[in-house]
Amino acid sequence: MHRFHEKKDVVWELGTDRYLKVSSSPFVRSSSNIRKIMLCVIIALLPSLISSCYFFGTRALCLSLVCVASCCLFQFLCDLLHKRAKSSLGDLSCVVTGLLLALNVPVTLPYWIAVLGSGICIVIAKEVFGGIGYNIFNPALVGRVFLLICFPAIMSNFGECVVDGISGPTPLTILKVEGISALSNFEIYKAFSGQILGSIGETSALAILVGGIFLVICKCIRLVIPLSFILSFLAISTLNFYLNPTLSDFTGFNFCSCPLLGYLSFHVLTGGLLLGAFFMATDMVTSPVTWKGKLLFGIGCGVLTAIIRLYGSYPEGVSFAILIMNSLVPLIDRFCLRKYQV
Amino acid sequence: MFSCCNKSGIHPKSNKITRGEPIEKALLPKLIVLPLSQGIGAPPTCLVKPQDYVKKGTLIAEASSFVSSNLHASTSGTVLKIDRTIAPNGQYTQAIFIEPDGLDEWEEGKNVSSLVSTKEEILQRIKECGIIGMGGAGFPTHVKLNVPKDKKIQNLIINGAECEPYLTADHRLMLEESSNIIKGIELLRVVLGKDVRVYLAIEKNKPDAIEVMRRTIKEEDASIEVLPLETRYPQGDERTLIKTVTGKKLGAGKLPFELGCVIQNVGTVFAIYEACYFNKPLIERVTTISGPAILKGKNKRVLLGTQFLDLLQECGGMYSDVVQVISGGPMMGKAEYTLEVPVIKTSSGVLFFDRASFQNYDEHPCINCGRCFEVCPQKLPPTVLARLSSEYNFDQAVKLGLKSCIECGCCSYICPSKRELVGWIRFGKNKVAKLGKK
Repeated sequence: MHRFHEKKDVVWELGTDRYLKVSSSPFVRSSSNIRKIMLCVIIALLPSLISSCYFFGTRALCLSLVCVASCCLFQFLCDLLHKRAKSSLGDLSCVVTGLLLALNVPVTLPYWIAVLGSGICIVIAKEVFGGIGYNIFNPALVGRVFLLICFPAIMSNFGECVVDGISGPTPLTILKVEGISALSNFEIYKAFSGQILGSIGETSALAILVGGIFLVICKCIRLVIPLSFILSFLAISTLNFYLNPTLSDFTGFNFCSCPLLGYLSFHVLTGGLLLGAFFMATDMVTSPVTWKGKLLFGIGCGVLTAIIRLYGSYPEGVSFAILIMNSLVPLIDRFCLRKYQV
Repeated sequence: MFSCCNKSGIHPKSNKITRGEPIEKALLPKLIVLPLSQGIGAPPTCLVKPQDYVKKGTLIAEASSFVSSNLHASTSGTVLKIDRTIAPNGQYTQAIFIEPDGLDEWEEGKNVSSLVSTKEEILQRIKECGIIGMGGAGFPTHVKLNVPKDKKIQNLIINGAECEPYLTADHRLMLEESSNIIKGIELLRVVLGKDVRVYLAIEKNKPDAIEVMRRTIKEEDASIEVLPLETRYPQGDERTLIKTVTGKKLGAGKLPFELGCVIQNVGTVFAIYEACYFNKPLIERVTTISGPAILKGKNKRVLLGTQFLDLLQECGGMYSDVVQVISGGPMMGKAEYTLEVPVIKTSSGVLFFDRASFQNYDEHPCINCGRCFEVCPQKLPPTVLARLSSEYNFDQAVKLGLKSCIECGCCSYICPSKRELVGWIRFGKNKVAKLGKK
């Protein structure tokens, strides 16, 4: 900055620090910032949080608060370690991570494990890579997968739905363990409203869709990832449906008197597919930046989810699929940035 | 839904505070500083020496090559010295300092009715009067109009979009000088051929200008099509304008005539009118003086060489502390570090920002949101180009289209992490240009 040139015959006084500021154009900026984007995501997650409290009781809320608080605490500690001049708590990204982690765990999870998971999210998945903007993997998913692998029994105890008192395994676990015939009494609309078992945030498809639509309206996410994710998943599932005669003969899911439609809606509405497609795969930092890249990313997520779910030994594959695709994002971005044609 | 749809550009708050202020003549300043180099091209050769007496409109520097333009004294007075000054772009440049004698006396034969009508005469007059593009780039107009013989110009686009926030100089000019602008357009039609289609592009946020121009065109029975454009920055950019009018994309490093287009700013057209009808050299221009830090924003007809200091006083001084002074618009202008900067031929506005409107943004890491990709009118990957430029990886950046950047600043405007994207891209472009010369 240069000293301001003073003139003796000038009657007016300059600003208090007597310097003119120079900076690069543009001199007007939009009001958007990271905090606003994260706030939108938090608002979009509220329907899921409310529905989880409704279906699983107040412990779901307590668990979410524990996760958010511990994520913020770890973030604060990391800021201290990084000696950041300005705390990155203000951008609210750690709140989003905490909320997403909470929505991805069962209601029975002990609080100390939730704190441990939050620590993995913030310290290992995010801050070790350099903080917001530099992480390769979705922090909340890293935390969830860590818990899933280290505490498989606790992570598959889904407690009890307080509304109709059902308990036991999730519909997808039943499908994986006992086969499709055990699901003959399954009602699709219950999966839509949320009266099934699962992680606290993934059961109510309705709440997730409300939040997802809000995000699209706020322009925080583009529909391309969720759509390509779900559609490619459906494509593989349809193939599986026709190749597998036990599925084609099963009439338990007769939705709109079409077994295929019933089977597909069962797969979309149960498990973490919608939550993953709208809130995890669309995480800006860990998804490609071009729309073609987003399309590829979504298709990859969908195909991997279908393969793990239908043929793997885990009942659920969304988390693994998204994490695998996260690792491919730099490659996809590089591939999709074409040479500029003059 | 998909970001591939053709919706680039941004919608900044227009802040056209001075849209209702009629153009006023600025007072004669105590000192005139005329930088030799006023736009693109070689600086002209200085013809005067200290203590010379010059009149208003006296040729004081002569074009030194084909892409160069004449410079005239903007008032009568004595040449004090030929010394360096700080140009609006922040660099030192040679300038002629004139102390006005207050008489403001015209040179003989200048500013008298003397109409020229043939193509050669008009081109010669434009060259003599030192007219350059007044929209911002400052390309000599006689060079722009000197189209190679094998190229046929089909479209003449008159740029009255004025998409930059705050600026209203072209808007007021269209309202107040509509018939003269049309006379200027008719002169250009003589130069470019009778069968050229003329479009007058005005953004829709200036309905009064659109109406006045339409009415005047009807009265004068001119065949000019007024083209109301969607209000969107950077609508007034040359390449964006060509795309809007013709639907064709102008490649990097190419000039508009290669697509059969010539683009002239409204201010330039008015200057051409004055030159060809009155033999009046380009010695003054309409400038918007505005911004949140001054008492009363105005549209002023300012003599070239007037320092920003004098402009500030003319608008009633400051409203509050000035912390940033911008020459040009807030999107593509330059921040000045001193007020001893003269108005030059391309100064479309002078803006004064106070502490409240100047925000010192903290840069955050890029979160890969992709908004800069969506708003880029050139369909470039701004955050990638900025990163590559900051890493000095210019080869890769050029492959991804670094040279095609028009530096409109949409990417920096929209960035939620407040990154200096266009700043880094501009840095990269300058480096590449320097490396290319070596």
